[in-house]
Amino acid sequence: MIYLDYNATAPLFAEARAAMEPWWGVPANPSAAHRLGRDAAMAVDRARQQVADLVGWARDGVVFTSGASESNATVFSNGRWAASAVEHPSVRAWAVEVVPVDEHGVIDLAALATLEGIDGVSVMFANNETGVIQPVAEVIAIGRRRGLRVHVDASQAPGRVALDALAGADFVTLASHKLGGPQGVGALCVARASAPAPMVRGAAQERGWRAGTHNVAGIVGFGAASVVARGACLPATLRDRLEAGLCALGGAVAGVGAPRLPNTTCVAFGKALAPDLVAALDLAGIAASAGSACASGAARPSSVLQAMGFLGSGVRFSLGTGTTEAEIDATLAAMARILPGFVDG
Amino acid sequence: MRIVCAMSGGVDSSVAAALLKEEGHEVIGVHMKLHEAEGGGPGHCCGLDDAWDARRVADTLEIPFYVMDLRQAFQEAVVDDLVKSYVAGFTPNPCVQCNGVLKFHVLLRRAMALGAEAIATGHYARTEDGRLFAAVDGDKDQSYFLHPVTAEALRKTRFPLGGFSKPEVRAHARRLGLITAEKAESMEVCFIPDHDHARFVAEARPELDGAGDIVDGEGKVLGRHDGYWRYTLGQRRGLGLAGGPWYVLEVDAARARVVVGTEAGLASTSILARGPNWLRPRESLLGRPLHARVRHRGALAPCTIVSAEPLEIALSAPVRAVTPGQSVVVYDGDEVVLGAFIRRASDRPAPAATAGPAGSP
Repeated sequence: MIYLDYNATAPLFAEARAAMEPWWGVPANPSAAHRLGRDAAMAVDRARQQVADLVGWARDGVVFTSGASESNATVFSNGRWAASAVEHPSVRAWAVEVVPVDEHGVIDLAALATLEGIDGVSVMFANNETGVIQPVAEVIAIGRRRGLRVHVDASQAPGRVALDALAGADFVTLASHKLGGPQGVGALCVARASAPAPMVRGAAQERGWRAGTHNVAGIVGFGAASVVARGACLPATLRDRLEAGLCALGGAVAGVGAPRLPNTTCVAFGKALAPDLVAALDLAGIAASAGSACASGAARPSSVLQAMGFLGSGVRFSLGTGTTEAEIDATLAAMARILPGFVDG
Repeated sequence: MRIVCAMSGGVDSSVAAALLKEEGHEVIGVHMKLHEAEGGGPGHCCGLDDAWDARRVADTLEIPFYVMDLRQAFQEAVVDDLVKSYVAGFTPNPCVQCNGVLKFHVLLRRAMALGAEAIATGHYARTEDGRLFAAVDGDKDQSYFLHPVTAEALRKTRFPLGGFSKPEVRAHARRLGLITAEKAESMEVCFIPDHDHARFVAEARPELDGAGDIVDGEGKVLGRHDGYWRYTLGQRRGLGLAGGPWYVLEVDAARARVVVGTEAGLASTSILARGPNWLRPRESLLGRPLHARVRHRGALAPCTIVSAEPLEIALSAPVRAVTPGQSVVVYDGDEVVLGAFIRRASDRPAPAATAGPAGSP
C-alpha cells in the first residue's frame, strides 16, 4: 500500500513506539503516591515539556486531552466563538459566527476585524483538506487589538512547517497522531492569562483543567513524537512532483494561490467524483482521501471546498516523512491508468 | 472478472456477493447511500445500520467495500418524481425508478470507472446476453421492477440469485456465516417509513390543497375528499360515501376530482404506455400472443402489442385497474420483452391533460 493520507493519520514514529512500549507493562497511574505512580507522573511531566518545546510554549500551559476534538471543545465551551468557514468540524460545531474565506481558502481578515458579539476567534494553522496556511500572526494581532481571545488548531502543522506564528495565541490545539504519535491523545496549550473552565470535570488531574486518568503510554508516545517533529520542516519536493504530474493529467488544485503545507494537495478532475477516484486508487493499492468521512464511510460534499467556491470534487493526497519518489511516480502512473474511465463524469 | 456488487446490507445482496466470490471473481462491494435513515430499522433498506451490515459482510468475504453517496440523485430521480407523479394524478412505483433508472445507470457508470467488467445485484431475476428473464422462484421474481434496464446495461449485469428460492438464499447465507442471514425483508417504500405516501406528498408540497369533489360517472357530486393524491385506481377504502360499494375509477388531477363507480367500471381491455424499453426487436413482437403484467405480483394477462408508436397493448380479456403511473411489463414465456409506464387504459381518460410522470425515462 502506498500511503498518501498522512493528514488523516500519520504512521507511528519508531521513536514513539519504543517510548510507549515499557508503559504498557506496568500499572501506571500518575495520580498514585507510590513509586510506580511517581514514575508515571514524571514520564507525563517529561512528555509535557517535550510537547511544550514543539510549539515554544510554557510547560505548565500544556494540558493533555484525548485528542484535538476534545481540546477544541474545551476552548469553545467557554464563551462565544467565531471560526473561519474552513475549520475542522470539531471547531465548526461550536462556532456562533463564521468568518468567510477567499477563493484561495484564506480567512477574510477584514470581515474578522468588524465582527461583533464574540469573545474569541478560532483559525486553523493549516487546513486539513487543502493544506492552505492561514495568516495566524495577523489573526492574533487583530485579536489582541480587539480584545478577542485567539484559538489556533495547529493539528496539521507540526513537523511540516515552522510554528513561530503561534506566539501570542491564547489557545493552541495539537493532535498526537497527525505528527507521528499515537491516536487517542492530544493537547490544549493554554496561555497563562487564559485558563478555560474544564469540560471534563472530576478529579484534579492536569491541574484541574481536565479530569480523567492519564493515558500514560499515549502521552509518552506523543512526547517522543514531538521530539522528532520539533523544528522539522518537510520539503515540498515530492508534493510538487505529484502535483505537477496530476495537473498534467488535467487536475485542478484547490488553494493553489495561497501558501500551503508542503505535504498536501487537493486536486479535482473535471466532473469525476472524488469518492470514486479514491475507490479506484484504493483498488490500485494507493491510500488517499476525499472530504471528511462520515459514520458510514460515505464522503459528503466538502464544506471546505464549497466555502472557497472551488468547483469540483477534490481528492486529497497528503505526504509525509516516509513518502518516496518511487511512490509518487507509481501514484501518477496509477492515476494515468484510472482517469480515462472517468471521462464522462 | 472484476465485478462491482451492489450491497444494500440485506441478505440477498450479501449472498449475491458471496456467490460471485465463490465463483472466483474479484468482487467489489458498493453500498449506495440513498437517503438519510429516518426512523430506519428492520424492513427499510439503506439506513446507517444497513450500510454497516453491508460493510461487515464485505469484511467477512474479504472484499473491498465502498459507500457511494447517491442522496442527491435519489432525491431527484425517485423522491421528487414520486411527488410529481402523485400530484399529476398518477400512482408511481418508486422501486422501478430506483432500481431501473437510478441504480443501474449510476452503478454501471461508476463500476466501469473502477475498472469492472460487470455489475451485480441481489435481484431475483435472470439475464443472459442482454435479455431479461423472470426468476426461477416465481414468488420472489423481481423482473417487473427491472423493466427499464436496457439491453446494453443487462449485458454487463449479473443476477446471481435468479436461479434460487429465498430459503436457498438464506441457507447459503448461513453456510457462509453471513450476519445478514436472518435479516428481515425490506418490503415498503424505503424513504416513507410510515408508508403514508399522502402525508409525504402533502409535506413535500405544502402549498397544494388537493381537496375536491368525489363524483360519479355522470359528474354528480357524492362527497368531498381532502387530497386527490390519496387515491389510486380500484381503491375502495377511505371514500366515506354512502351506498356502494364504490371504487375509484379515475383520479382527475386537473380538477382535483376523484371519480367513483362500480367495480365493473375498472375493467380495461387496452393500455396506452410511454417510455418503452424494448428488450427484443419490436417487429418480432407486434401482433404476437404475449402476456402483460400491470402491477407487481399481478396476474399475467394474455395480450398483443397493437402499435409500437404510440405504444398500445390490447388485452385479450378485461383486466382490473390498469393504473396510470404503474408499469406494464410484457412477457414472452418467462422473458421480459418490453417494459413501459402506463399512461392510461385506452378506454379511460388520462389523469393529466398533457404529460406522464415527469421523471420517467
